[in-house]
Amino acid sequence: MSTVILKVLLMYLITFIIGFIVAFIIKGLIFILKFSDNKKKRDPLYPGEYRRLKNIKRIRMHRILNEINNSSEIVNHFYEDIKNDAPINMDSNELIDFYYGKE
Amino acid sequence: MQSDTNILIARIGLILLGLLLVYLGKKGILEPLLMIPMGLGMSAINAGILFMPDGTQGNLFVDPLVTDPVKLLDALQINWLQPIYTFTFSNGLIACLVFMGIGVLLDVGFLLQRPIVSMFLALFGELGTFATIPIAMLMGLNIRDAASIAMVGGADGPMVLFTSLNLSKDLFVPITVVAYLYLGLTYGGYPYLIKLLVPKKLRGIKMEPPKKKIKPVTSDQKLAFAVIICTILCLLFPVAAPLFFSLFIGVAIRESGLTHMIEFISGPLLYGSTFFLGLLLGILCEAHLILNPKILTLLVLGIIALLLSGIGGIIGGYIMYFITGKKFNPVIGIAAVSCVPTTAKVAQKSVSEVNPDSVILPYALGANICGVITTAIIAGIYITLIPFLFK
Repeated sequence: MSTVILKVLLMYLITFIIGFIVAFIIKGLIFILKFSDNKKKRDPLYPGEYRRLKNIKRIRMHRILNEINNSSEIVNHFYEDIKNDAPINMDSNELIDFYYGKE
Repeated sequence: MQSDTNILIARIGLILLGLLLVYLGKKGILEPLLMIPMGLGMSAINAGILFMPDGTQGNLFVDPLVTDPVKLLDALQINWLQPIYTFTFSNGLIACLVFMGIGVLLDVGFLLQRPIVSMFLALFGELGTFATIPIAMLMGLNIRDAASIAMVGGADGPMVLFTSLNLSKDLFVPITVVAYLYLGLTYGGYPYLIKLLVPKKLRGIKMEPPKKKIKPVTSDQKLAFAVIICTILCLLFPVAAPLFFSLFIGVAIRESGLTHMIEFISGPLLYGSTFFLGLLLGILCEAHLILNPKILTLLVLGIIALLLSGIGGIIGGYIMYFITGKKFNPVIGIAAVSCVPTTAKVAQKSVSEVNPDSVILPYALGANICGVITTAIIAGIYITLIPFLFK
């Protein structure tokens, strides 16, 4: 009977070991997945890309207004703001194509 | 060989027991999904006995003892439940299908938020699964039968079925019937155990919110967990790989967002498997099969296993209480006994009776779900190591 009890205790110990290994694997897995999610947000290209997409949205909105109001002053005002984001030596029409795409 | 008088008395008793199970299932005292088909099956099989052409008593439901391939082919064509028994029950498929359904219903997020604490409690909640083995051997069972009945302490029906099919084929029917009967009783019995072992003051402990806000676990993280842990556990315990795969494929389907598949597995597949599992368990309670001298021993050992598991869970809760400087509610330990989500609900109900502001369900569910995984690990350890350690 004592050998049976010892063998049962051995199996319980193995269960404890495997159980905690599984628990630490889970902990490590969650840590790695959270780290990779955060890394994406800390990517240096991320803020620039975000700003570019925001500008495209703004220009689209003002182009619509421009067509309605038939006035290019508002659009040009915003082009002055965002001109630095685009490559240098682009004129306003090229800027539209750069951000909005060719029609 | 049982005498005809004993068999007659047993048949009448089993018919009445079957009717009682249907009644208890309808009243909600025991799980109706299982008890109604099981009870009716039990009554029907013991009433529907006829004399076969060779003069022996038989039935047209199922013959579980037939192994000869030629006779099996005959049985498959004559007995209406034989195909379901032979192709889903005796090879463990039905247990795996039920486990798949359980996997789809499980939200492993609770476990992933607190894996170490959940695993710690779950391991203590398996005390009955181990401590019952030497007790069973003292009562005259061999090691394989002892390990099979001890699995009742894991409080997981499909696991008990799977383990007993592998280790103790002669006793798997009474062991599984005992397991499913008792699992329904945990809802009624465990609150008394909690009141006995945990004083009112400790039951009312309110769990403080964590210092760092715990971010919700995303579907991607849960899916990655299911895939990686499934692979590792299948590698460690290939004999229990069908069980691990079934559980984690259910979790993976849930987290993949495949709505139609989730609806199918958690609906028709789970309920269909549960229905036929209950039906077959009832049908297999035919007097000739169930009248085993060991049945009383199994009834006693089943209770001992569940009791010791409950005590073990509460011990784990107390250890956490002292480790955390008396801030952890020890009642959470009972949820480590993996009857999902019954024991978690029992724990929350017991705490709410004393302190309605105390919410322990997230911790309890983490331990509860972890208990399913630890029971599967133990099934793998038993099936792998017992033939090796106990030659």
